[in-house]
Amino acid sequence: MVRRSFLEKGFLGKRYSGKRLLGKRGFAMQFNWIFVLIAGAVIIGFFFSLINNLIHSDDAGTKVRATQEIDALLKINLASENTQKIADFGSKLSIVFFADRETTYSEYSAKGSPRTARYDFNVIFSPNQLDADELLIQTFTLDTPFRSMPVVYATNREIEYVFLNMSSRVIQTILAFVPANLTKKMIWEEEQLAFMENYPDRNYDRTVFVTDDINFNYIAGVRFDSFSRPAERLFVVVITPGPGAIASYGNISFYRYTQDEGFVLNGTSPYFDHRLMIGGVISHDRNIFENNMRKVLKRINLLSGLYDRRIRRYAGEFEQCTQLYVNVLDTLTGSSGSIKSLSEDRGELTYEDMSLIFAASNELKQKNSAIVGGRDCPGIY
Amino acid sequence: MIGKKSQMQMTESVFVVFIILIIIVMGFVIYSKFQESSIRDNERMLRNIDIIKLANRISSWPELECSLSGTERFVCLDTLKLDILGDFINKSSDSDTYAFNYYYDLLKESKILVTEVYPPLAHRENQKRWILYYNPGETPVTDSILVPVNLYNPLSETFSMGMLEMQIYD
Repeated sequence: MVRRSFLEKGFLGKRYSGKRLLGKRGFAMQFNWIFVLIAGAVIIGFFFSLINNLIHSDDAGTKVRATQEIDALLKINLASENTQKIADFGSKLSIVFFADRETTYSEYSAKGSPRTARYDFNVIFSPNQLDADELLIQTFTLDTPFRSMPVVYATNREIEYVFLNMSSRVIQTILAFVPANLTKKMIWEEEQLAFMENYPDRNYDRTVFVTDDINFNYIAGVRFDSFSRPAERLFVVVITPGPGAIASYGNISFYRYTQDEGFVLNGTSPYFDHRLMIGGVISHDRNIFENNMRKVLKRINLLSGLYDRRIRRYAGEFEQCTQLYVNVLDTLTGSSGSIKSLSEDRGELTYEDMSLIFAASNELKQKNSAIVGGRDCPGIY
Repeated sequence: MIGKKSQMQMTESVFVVFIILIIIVMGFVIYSKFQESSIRDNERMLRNIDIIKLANRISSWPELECSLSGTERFVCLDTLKLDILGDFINKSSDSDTYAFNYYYDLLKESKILVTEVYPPLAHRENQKRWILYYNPGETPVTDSILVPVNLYNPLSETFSMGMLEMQIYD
């Protein structure tokens, strides 16, 4: 007697005998089983891909929502003047900032988000990536040469800013204006400055050394072998100020660390206004810095045009001040050396233009004071 | 005979279940419609609040704010600046791309009008009116919000009262 298996009885039915199993029907049974296995695999695969898609779309949705929240947060802060705050996200978030150095194109997003938020018209100085559950935000209104636009510094406490030589007036200026809750370390003792290679890795996301051109030699050739992933985590910002009591215009150089050569120059950009220079320190990224400088210049250019129209109206109405207004127009929108002509987009930003903008701003302030103070005429801004 | 009766009862039961199902579905539809309109009302209210905030921000724009010897006034617009900016934005929509894009980024599809309301004139149509920004979209997503503002004329050095009217579109 041939003993039939459970499968033969149950799956194939009574008709299948042991003999038949060895014949053509036997192959049929095997095919049925293969079919069941394939179909089962396909069905399981389908459900797996469905679950995977759901998880992925949920993750992407979360990232998009995070991007929207960051956008709302930064836009709200752009609307408030002279504030400092810590924005808590609740969970760790990675924010990526991208800015084109040669235009005003800029965007940010939560890392991995399929959607980004543009900020082509807003000045936000930030590192190119921030990983933290909180954001340090400081806002102020730029008033060189006149009140023009809100500026935001955005960083976090996971970035360590190390200031070299406290006696430097540049460093003193920076320390007076950076956000209060910034993670900062000051080094001023000669023994420490002379042995910067001993500077310890404190496991911050990044360490940014900030110095002026005079003290740069303390760190220029130093190798940081004790740091893990130094190429990703070490930066130097060097300020070369122009002449004057405070660092009102000058050059700012950005360095990155390489395993083979130590700190390597990534580029130098000019600046005017010490608070824009601090923006360069906060971002320690040349692309983001120059991109924001271009936005500031465009905005100043736009406002110069508007003030020009306004002053021409005043000059017609207040005859006793006509000459004063004409003088102002020369500084504001004259054909050369004026604020409007210097703030035009002329490709590369230059040190000369920045120094002239600063000089023209001071001239404009003096002329405005003369109008407001001397005679009974409305000021230009 | 019995079979036919039970068949009829069965049909009746199916019919009842079907009617109940229709009633439940209708209930859900009506409930969701109510919810939808309540959500829309809420959304509209939040957008209206945003407009009021925007109106306050506009009054602190350097190109519009009143600045009297360095002092700033609360929600105060300079009428000469209104003249110039309104004209500038409308003209820049054709010529200066950056200028229009700058204001478009802030104001998107909206209209912003300023009307002087006090001191009142005998004929309301003679009251001064500035069209600051006019770029309406197809459907308004907010009410037309009126925000009272101070108006300062730097030529005559006088103050008046105005209404900033704003509406945002989709």
